[in-house]
Amino acid sequence: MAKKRSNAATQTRVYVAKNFRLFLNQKDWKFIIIAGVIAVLVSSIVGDKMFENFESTKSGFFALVSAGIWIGIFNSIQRICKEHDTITSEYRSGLHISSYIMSHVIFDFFLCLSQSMLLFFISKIFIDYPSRGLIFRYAVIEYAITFFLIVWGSDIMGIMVSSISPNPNTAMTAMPFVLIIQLVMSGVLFELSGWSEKIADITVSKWGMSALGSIADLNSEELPLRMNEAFPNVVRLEDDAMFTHTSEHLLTSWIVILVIMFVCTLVSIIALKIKNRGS
Amino acid sequence: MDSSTRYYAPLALKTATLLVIENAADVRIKQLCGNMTIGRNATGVENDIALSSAFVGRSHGSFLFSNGAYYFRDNNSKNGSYINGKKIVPGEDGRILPVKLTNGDIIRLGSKNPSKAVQIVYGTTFSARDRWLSLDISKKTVIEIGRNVKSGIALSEFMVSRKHAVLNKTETGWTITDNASKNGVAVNKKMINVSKELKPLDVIRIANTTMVFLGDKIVYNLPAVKEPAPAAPAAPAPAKPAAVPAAPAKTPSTAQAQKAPSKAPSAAKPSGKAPAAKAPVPNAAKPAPAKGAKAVPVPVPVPGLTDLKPYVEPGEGMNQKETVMSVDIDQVRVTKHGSILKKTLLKDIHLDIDQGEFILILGGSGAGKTTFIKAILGTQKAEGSIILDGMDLYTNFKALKHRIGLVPQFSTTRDNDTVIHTITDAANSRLAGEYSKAEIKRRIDDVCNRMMLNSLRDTLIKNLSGGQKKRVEVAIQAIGDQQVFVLDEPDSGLDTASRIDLMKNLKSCTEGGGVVTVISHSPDDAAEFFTKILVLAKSPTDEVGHLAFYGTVPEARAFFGVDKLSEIVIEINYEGSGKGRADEFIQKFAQMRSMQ
Repeated sequence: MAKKRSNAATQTRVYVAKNFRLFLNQKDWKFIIIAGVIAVLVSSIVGDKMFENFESTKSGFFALVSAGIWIGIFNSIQRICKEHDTITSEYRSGLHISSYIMSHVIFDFFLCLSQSMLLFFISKIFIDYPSRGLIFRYAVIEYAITFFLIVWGSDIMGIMVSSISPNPNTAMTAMPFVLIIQLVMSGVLFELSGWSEKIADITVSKWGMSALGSIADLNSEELPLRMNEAFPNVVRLEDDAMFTHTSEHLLTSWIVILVIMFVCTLVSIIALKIKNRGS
Repeated sequence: MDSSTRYYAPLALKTATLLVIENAADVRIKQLCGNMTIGRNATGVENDIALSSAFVGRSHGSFLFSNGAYYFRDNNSKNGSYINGKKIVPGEDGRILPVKLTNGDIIRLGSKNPSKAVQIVYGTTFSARDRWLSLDISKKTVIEIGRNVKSGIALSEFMVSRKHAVLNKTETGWTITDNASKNGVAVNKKMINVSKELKPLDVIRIANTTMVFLGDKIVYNLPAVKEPAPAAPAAPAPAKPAAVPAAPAKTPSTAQAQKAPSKAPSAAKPSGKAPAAKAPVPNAAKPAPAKGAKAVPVPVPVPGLTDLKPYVEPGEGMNQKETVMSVDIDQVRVTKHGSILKKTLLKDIHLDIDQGEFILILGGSGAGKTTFIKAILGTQKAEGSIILDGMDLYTNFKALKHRIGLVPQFSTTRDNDTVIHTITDAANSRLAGEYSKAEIKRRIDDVCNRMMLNSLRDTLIKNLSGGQKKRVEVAIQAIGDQQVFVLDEPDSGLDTASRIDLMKNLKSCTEGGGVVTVISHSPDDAAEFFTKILVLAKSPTDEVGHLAFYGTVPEARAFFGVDKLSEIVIEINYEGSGKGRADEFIQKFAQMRSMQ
């Protein structure tokens, strides 16, 4: 058993190294450049309106969350399904599917880290983030972690879709649906209730928004509603629970994203094992 | 050439090996070579296998060779015969029918009681020409089995893990424990999960070594080293000291050099084919290691280890080619899309594949070539059995599947990785943990050499030609410890020169005892490389693929009355330009086998 585990660990190492090599040989660093371009585009549009009022801040965060999700999913959605034949052949020769998926998860940790840092720091040029954090002393650390989790979580969701899809065409067909579900279920565009609320609970977008809103304290009275410009006396009757400004709420949001990532990883492994059953 | 065939090619006689155990002290290894009698010699009665036990009759039984297989027949003996514990009894008509033998069967003569009976282990996966050893375990409590030279039972094969298994003496007896080895441990043809208690006459199989547990001793063989010799013409191979067990065939392995302290080396008589590899040199003078080379590990003397003398009479024998795979397909049925009925695609394919074979699979479209390949890979289960290395592939699929390497028609490599990284990653994924870095590197160098990939090491896969890509894919499969390679049209789209090169490379995979089976539609360029041709033909009568021929290239040409192998397909096809003679050849081949 111990030997089996050590072999699986070796395979993970081998495939992580392979992913880095392929990243360079395939010129996949263009994904990092694309992330930078998206960050500039989104941040330059939403930047000057952020933290002016509740609505524009919420919309700004939504745009940044959407960008993060798009960057993450786009990283990985074609990666697994395009090498299904190779995986089948390697599985037959002793590849552990869990090692293979874990190697992508680990490699994507570094890819998403670089992309999310780029997204965050570029956005920081345009957006004046509040400085006080909930868990850490500086809010920028919490924003950076949240952006990273959004990108990495979406990336792993992309791995899951790619593992389930039989070929890149199917994966690309599925991509808009995944994106739409993420955007609609974020709770920003529409009020969610009933079954849609339940589905929203398993989306990275909802918990990403929740974390960002929590750090920024969107419920704060210091952040006026847009209608306050015309009606200064209008006040919010109740806070939005999604943006509760507490360290517990922020931690919960992060943990839920991690749980979603774990489930997506598990589904990816199971999907590939089912596909290669009998081979 | 006219359309009539010229002669019936007879199926070659095969040998098998018997371990005859008359009592604990007398273990003999005997080569079966066609029909042979067994019994107690007396005046006027001389048996091919002579026994002395009073429980055995004078003409107790016979081994019969028929239709490519061995059978045992009890000659109505007084005390009877038992196969795997089951008594051979007469049928309803009072006749005793011969019983077909399969590798690892235990035959007991004269009594069901092991202490009284003469016990015989029948095998096709071991040879009387191997070196056979007997290890006295009566004074031992723990015996390690592995590639480690310090092991009590040191085996040198690449397929054996460094610490493969361990034998432990407990209060109730001996148990064998698989030490999470890569290729596992089989007891009585079944892979064990972790541990298994041993009973006398249990047959243990580790890689190509067969061990028979006899209670107070273990008898086992050391097969000839099956590592292929490095290809000579390829790019220069760095000269390596024989420091690791994966040494070329000419170097005596560490285990083969294991000291037998009590008896002088007797061992197998050298066969004409590969005397250097087969003949053990237990006390041979060690060659002085080259400057800077690692010293050969010194074998550790093992107390209680003695050589057994195989009973292979001079001139009696033939070199036994160990059977790697026995194919016994009654039929393969599949459910077609949109139908609830199962359609039979392949029927009655029975053949043995021996070590070192390079087999060409021929057949028209719909003859069942791909179905056959899937059946022997275990991905499409057939009704029947595929016995790989003495074990059922279908019931031991998880443990055995990686011993059969597949190179499919489509590419299984990553375009943007280099050749050397692709091969190194495959090696590290499969071998790390079990083998040292030096062993893995040596393996990689050897495979690159044999597949003529040295000059392409740093080339990206996407920049390779079709033939070069195929060679890389073969190298990936050859890097592990595969016993059988299956290639589905590896030469399609290749020019003649690339085709010949590829086949030459594939042939090198058989030099270490491996088996290569290839589907090809252009076989004539490389016909001289194939040792056997397997022809599948779709019968117009039942629209099912059948075995139409299995034999050597010259036999195939004579059987089908053709000059070129590609013409065989024209002879059997009944569509397009085919001559529609499938049924004729299917019947002729079946008839030929039954006549034997």
